[in-house]
Amino acid sequence: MPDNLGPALAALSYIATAAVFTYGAYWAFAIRRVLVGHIYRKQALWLGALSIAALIASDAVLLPLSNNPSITAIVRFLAYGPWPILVAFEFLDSTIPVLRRSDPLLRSILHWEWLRMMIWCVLVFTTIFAVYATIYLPTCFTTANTPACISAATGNSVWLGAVVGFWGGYYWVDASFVLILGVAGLLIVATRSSDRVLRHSLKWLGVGLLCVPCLVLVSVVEGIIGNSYYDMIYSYGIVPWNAVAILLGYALYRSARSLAPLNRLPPIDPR
Amino acid sequence: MATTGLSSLDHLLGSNGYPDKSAIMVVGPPGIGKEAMGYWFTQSGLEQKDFCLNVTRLPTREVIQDVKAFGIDFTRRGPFWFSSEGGQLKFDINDLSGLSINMKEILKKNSDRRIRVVIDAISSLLILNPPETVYKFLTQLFTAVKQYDAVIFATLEEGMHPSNVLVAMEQLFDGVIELRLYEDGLRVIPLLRIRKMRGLPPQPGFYNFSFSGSGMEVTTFAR
Repeated sequence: MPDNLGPALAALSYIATAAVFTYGAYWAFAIRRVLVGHIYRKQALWLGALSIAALIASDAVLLPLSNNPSITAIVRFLAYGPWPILVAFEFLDSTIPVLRRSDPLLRSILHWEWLRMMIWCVLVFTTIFAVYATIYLPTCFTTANTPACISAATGNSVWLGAVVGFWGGYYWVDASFVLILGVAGLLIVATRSSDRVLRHSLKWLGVGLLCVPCLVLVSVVEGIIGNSYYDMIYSYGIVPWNAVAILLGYALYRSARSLAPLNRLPPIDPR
Repeated sequence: MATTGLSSLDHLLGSNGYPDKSAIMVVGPPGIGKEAMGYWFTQSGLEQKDFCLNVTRLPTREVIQDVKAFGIDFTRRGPFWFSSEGGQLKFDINDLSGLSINMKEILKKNSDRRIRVVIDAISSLLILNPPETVYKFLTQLFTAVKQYDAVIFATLEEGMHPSNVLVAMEQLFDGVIELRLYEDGLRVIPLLRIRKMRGLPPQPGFYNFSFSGSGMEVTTFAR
């Protein structure tokens, strides 16, 4: 493959990814503008926010990675920090009341009123540690080497080691927790809801959620075949990853569009 | 005539609102503003000292919270609540006969006043019961209610029911207002149409509508 084809393909895939997420966010906000019910407006707002969050997370790697560890740490924090999980969980938290209302018998979903408080406590606690680690241990984010980072941190302080260790485990634990709850909530409501409109929106949201583990899988496979992180993001290696990201963006777009059934414009008023 | 609580809609309906002793249905997708029209209808009734009955499948506190978004406060002076939780009467969606008996009793007790009834539970009733049963229930209810000086305002969710059920429901009501969202390129346009209204000639036109804290604005739709 010619040397310049890889970066060109990577650039094209980034543009396509950004376009899909932007288009999805636009429709989510356009639908929100015309809806009146506050829970549906909130739902549309979060679908738009989720598209923007995914856009930033997928394209933040394009930000210049300088030699300054602090800037690099901030860039990596934007791309991989805890905030996408916070956005995802806030989205889930605002979605559950909408889902509950679609059940004619208004049954509780996983005792959400209690569960949400518990999850928020865990998320806030771990996010504080994550932000602390980002500010005081930027090396961890430049090397992306958790064992080395823990080792370096424990050389300075046991507490810092604990913080970094917690951060290392935090991301996957919280992401899995939020995803599992999201899928469980969607499955429960799909069996209870009789709202065809909402079911259609949830179907696409489910497709979007399935894309997240697929993105992780693509990264793992890339790592196994020998594409390092820095090689991958500026070459054809990113194309499969961005292809899945485009599917995620399309699923979010369809989910937003399905939130309110849109009809074709009526013929001109005969009067 | 019973004012809608929305001056632009009153104007559209011939300046005075919904016809006396009528049953009005508003149909549209979730979140478009059907319930908001019901809130203003109730608010208008409360201002005129009418007896207002709200039949809702939701807990009262959730409805009050929704209502506040439209600048209406039912905490100081509110309707008679027939709700799943927190109301003067408990609304059991599985008990159609109990619902019918209770409503008739309430209406009888307040028969010396003008009555307004707002129902947001018809879609849920249709989901949990055979359409024939709901049809029969509504027919009997409307017959009973129309003995009094009453207007019924009901909402129905678009996209939840087969088209034949929607048509059957429309036939039951004296007036049907449709709220829908239309796509025009990259724009989403909310449009209102009066499908039928007792005492009014057929209206083929579409109208733009938008909500604000002070009510609903309705203007003639032009491309």
